[in-house]
Amino acid sequence: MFALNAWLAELTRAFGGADGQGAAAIQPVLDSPEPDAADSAFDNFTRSLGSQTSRRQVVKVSVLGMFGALLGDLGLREARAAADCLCGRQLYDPAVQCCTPTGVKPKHPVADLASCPNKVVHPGYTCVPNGCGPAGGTSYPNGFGSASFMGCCNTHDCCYGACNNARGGCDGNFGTCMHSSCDAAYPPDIRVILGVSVDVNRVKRASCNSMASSYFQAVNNFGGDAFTAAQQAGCDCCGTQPCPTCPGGTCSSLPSCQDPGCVCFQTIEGKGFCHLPQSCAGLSGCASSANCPAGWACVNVTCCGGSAICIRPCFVVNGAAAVQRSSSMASTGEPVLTTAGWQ
Amino acid sequence: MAATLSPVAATLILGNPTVIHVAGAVRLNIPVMNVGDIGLVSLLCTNISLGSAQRSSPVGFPIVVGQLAASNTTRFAARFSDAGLVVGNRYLLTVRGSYVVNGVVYGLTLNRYVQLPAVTVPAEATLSARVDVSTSTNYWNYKLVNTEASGSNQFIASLALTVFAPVTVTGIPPGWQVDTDNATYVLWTAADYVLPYPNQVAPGAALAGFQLMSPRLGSEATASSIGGWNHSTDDAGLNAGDYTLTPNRFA
Repeated sequence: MFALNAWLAELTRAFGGADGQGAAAIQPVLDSPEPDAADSAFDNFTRSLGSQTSRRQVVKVSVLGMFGALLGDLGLREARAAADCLCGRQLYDPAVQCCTPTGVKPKHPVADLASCPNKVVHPGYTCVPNGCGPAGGTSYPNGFGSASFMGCCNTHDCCYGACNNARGGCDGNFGTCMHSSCDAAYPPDIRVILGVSVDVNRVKRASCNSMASSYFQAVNNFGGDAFTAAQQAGCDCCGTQPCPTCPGGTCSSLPSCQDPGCVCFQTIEGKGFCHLPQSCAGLSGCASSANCPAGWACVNVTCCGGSAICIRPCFVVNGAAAVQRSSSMASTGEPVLTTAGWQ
Repeated sequence: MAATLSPVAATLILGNPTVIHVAGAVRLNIPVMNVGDIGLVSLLCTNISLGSAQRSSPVGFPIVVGQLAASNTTRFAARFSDAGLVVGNRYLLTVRGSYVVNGVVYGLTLNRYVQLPAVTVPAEATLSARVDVSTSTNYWNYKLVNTEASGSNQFIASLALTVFAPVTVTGIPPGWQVDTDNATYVLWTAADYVLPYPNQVAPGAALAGFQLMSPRLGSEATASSIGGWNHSTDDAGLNAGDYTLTPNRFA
């Protein structure tokens, strides 16, 4: 159990002031993506997280020592093996990625809800609501007097985060819940005051309902981003997917890799590799894929002879493959020996 | 510097905030998401900035969130003056704070550029009013200020506070009443039942005398709401929600 006093003492030391100017005294965790990349979309954060995780993993291995390193290495091998799944022209790792109609997408958090038509509940997701939050840049209290909105807010939070829920239903129930709380807390209470019958709860009930309406309107008008964020966190882009592989083969019997014109090769490291055939002429030799340009692979079973050579990937990188396709064969009409045979 | 020495640090990110630019002010709704595999506790927000813009809300910190489980999101609201800001330009939004995982306190700094949109008409009218807060040892004093234009029909009829600390209401202005459970909420209302509601706070007027006492010494920013009453329709009027300083839940 965390010791509150110790935490407060450390917090005081760490921050020294209300604005946390001393935060550097304790370990920063995620100092944001670089400013230039920070504003475009959630996927930028996802990319940043990816690099963050790698760094953390490196540190983890060094900190935990041999046993940890062994576990990490095992995990890495599993990832390598799983990463051989084919999604069209791309290889991907179904443990952390999804094959979608628009290509390979990160599994979690979901970068773009629209590109994941088969979202499922993220296995690690359990809704732990924390009461009433702000909406539309305005903060709202957890209730109005004895009319508590906490239950309504918590239910609404979990409704937003439940994968594939419809936002309209969540919002509608939220509004109804708050109004019910107001009416229950301040029911009509008729009393005679100075000879006049008055409902002494009328102002409170009406004010409570007015605040509930304001809160509902703010959520209804501006809750879209909150809903998106909650769905991104609460969903995986896909469930378990089949894993078509790219096993490689021998010259003249190289299997297709789901992309017209591309074929499967086996890298020197034993991975499947989806390759767009290219002329054998001028391809550089290699001892491992690390010797090749980024994204390329070192293979030793091709139609170019027995030596290991670097070959290019099939998938598009900023349109580069399209250029490669157009220049992949000689324009003279003469047969050319390519990595996949004479063409 | 983004590297971390701890294998258990949570992974928090700043989601895409809602940015609303109304005349004179920029209002932000800022999601902070725990996209890691572990939950965290004692999440605090200790500062929110937008470039060099003048912040008008929250007026004080911390905002205490507490627990944020894996794959869950929390949100903060902030309001800035738009003086000196240019529509279409990008400004760095920074959220600072701290959280605890396995008893270890971690500092938190999240950045994101946001683009200032064009001025829009507010989707819903709000009451022009504020709560001024002053504190002295163990006491929190509130003054309601109705900043509606002269001639407005919007009078102030209530002040609702969310609290997370033991409190005793030690100040009730004459003609007002209070509902409280001394732990989670305090609601002051004008003790009027029919027009002309003489105890409600008129446009341009202010009313002090709302006071809490608590064994706590520190403050935290919690949500509050000022409730308006429309004297033309004799019905509930506009509202103003904001953060207000109340006794700190911890110390």
